[in-house]
Amino acid sequence: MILTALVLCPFLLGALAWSLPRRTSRRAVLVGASLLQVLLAGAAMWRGPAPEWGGALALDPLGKLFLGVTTLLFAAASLYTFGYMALHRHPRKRHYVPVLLFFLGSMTLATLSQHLGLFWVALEATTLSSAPLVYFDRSEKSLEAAWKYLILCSVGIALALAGTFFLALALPAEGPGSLLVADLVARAPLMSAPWLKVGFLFLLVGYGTKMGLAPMHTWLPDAHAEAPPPVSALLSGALLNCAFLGILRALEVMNAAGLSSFVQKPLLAFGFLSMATGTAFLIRQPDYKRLLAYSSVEHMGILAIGVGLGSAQGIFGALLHALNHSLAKGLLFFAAGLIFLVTGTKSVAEVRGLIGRSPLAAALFVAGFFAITGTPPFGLFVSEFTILSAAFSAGHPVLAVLYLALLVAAFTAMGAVVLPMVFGSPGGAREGSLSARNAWLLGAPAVLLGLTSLGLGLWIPRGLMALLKAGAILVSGGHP
Amino acid sequence: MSGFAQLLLVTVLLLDVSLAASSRLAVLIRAFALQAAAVAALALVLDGPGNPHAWAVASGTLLFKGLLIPYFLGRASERTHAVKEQDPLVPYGVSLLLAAAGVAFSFALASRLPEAAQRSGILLGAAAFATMFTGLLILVSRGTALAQVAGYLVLENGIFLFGLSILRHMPLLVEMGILLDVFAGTFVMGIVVYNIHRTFDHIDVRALTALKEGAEREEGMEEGG
Repeated sequence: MILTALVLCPFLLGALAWSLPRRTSRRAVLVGASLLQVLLAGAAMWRGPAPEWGGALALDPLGKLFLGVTTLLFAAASLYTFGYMALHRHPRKRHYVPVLLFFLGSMTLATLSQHLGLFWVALEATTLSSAPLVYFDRSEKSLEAAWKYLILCSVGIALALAGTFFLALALPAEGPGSLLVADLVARAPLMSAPWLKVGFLFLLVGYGTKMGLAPMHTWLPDAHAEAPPPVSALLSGALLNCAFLGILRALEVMNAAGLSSFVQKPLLAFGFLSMATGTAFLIRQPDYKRLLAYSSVEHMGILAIGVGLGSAQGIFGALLHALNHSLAKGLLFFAAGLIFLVTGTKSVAEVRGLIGRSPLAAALFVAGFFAITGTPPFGLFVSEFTILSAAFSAGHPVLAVLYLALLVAAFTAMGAVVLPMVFGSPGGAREGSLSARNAWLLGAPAVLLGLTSLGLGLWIPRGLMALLKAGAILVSGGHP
Repeated sequence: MSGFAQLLLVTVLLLDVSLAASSRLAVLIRAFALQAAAVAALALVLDGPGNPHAWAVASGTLLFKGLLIPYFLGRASERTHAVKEQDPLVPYGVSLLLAAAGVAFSFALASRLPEAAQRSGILLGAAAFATMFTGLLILVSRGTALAQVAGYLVLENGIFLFGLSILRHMPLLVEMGILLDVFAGTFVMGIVVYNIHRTFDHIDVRALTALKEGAEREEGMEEGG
């Protein structure tokens, strides 16, 4: 019951919001729906509900982790939306709240799906429901971004559907077989290895496109930079994780079939290419929202490297990193929204001396910068360090050094863009409109995410630790 | 495999070649609709007419891909005054040759498939690969937004052909979800295409380059002084 409710509530409330005539009442529905979702998700994680829909919906450790991240980030984003939309002048858009809730519903379905076909349906639905959000500004640029996003991700995900079918073709001809992850894992030793390999590559390229792995990432900077800040935060912090979950599900099957050595090379290759590409475009990046988007490409690369190392330790690091990245990237996009309200521009060159104009925005942006680059004591330091030591203990010292070099390069490149924005001298700066009271309304969700990210760097709660370990064992197939 | 199934698969292959070579959007849409109808019929023929699951999949495919999507695309091309593509990236003659080569290559590929797949015949695998290849070819070689949507749909047709041989592993719910996603996807793409037409007065998406990293940088340089 509760899993079905988790999936259906956002859709039903979205439909309700569509029928409401007043903007304020639609926003009330948004905040109400996100709080209800937090309660439902909390109850589901607490009780550990039985599978529903014939096993197609269930809550395993991976699902718990990503459901938790999605729900929390959505709640923060909906509070932020409440303040942001009241301030930012924009065309009247009736569909914003309903579509945002459909987006939440499809992401929730993705985190709960145990059937690979159902997972595909959910992930394609996330593309369709978020494309209108990218085109929110109704500008030429946002239209271009929405088109690229739609066509590239739809084609990418279509390849993932082919990959899903290939996994089904790998099942032995006789006997029952379903595309439930548990069934596939149980029958993996009997499945045909060539089909599994082809299927995995299609799934990796397909879901990798949606996850923003280079070289299939070209849609990502456009979409993340053109969408309104709360949507960018969700695209970066929640949606990329959902695509990553698709790759994790495929890995569960591959590792159970004893093909772990086959999957490592493509994962590491995509991972390092993404880190390098993301970092390269951080250098002297003229648009601060694109800066954050390329940082997402870099961090998706780190996730791919973490799981590509093949050890449970690496997978553990990647799962922790996914959580940390979502918190820090949410904080950064919220801060970027504040900067836009203060200065009225997305251009790095025009934002100077932010510290004098909005200490709150400046403090949040700098904190986000230190968090995302893995500076201690933020959580990303722990997860990046875990992956580094996993690389050494997996016997890849060269890769470990390369990884470390890229991390340092990303830190330097991002710092060279961010710090002048905050501390440079404000010559001829444009004025925006943001009162102190409103600033705090918008700042609160960002502060919350920042504190959580900081907290995870100092101490990981026992329950979360157990969850991450269980997830790592699930993906690695029990091999340490 | 029955003779009728083979006839349908050959039809799919021939439509691939004609899809790759047609410049007119109306022809492209009609060929796609025919191909989708052939795929729907194949679902019935391959899994036996006594199977209710196959009936549901076949009628769903025919309804969404054979009728609704082509109707919707046709209306979109009327409203955006897009009739034909003048200068594709790959000339139509070359495109035709590439598609034919794709068919030959697909047969070679399908005959090398592990036996698990060959139980449904080399012809099915070849038709599926060739259709996927044609879809990707159209996506890469055309600049008109609607032609790219058609390319995506042809790619989806090819993937669906693979799906036919594993119908028994797929619950009907998922099967319908896939069809609904493809339909909703076409719908959303159609809305975006309509907005592109309204904003730019054309639907040549190759001309949309404001967000290219280079363009952005030059702009940034100018603003930065």
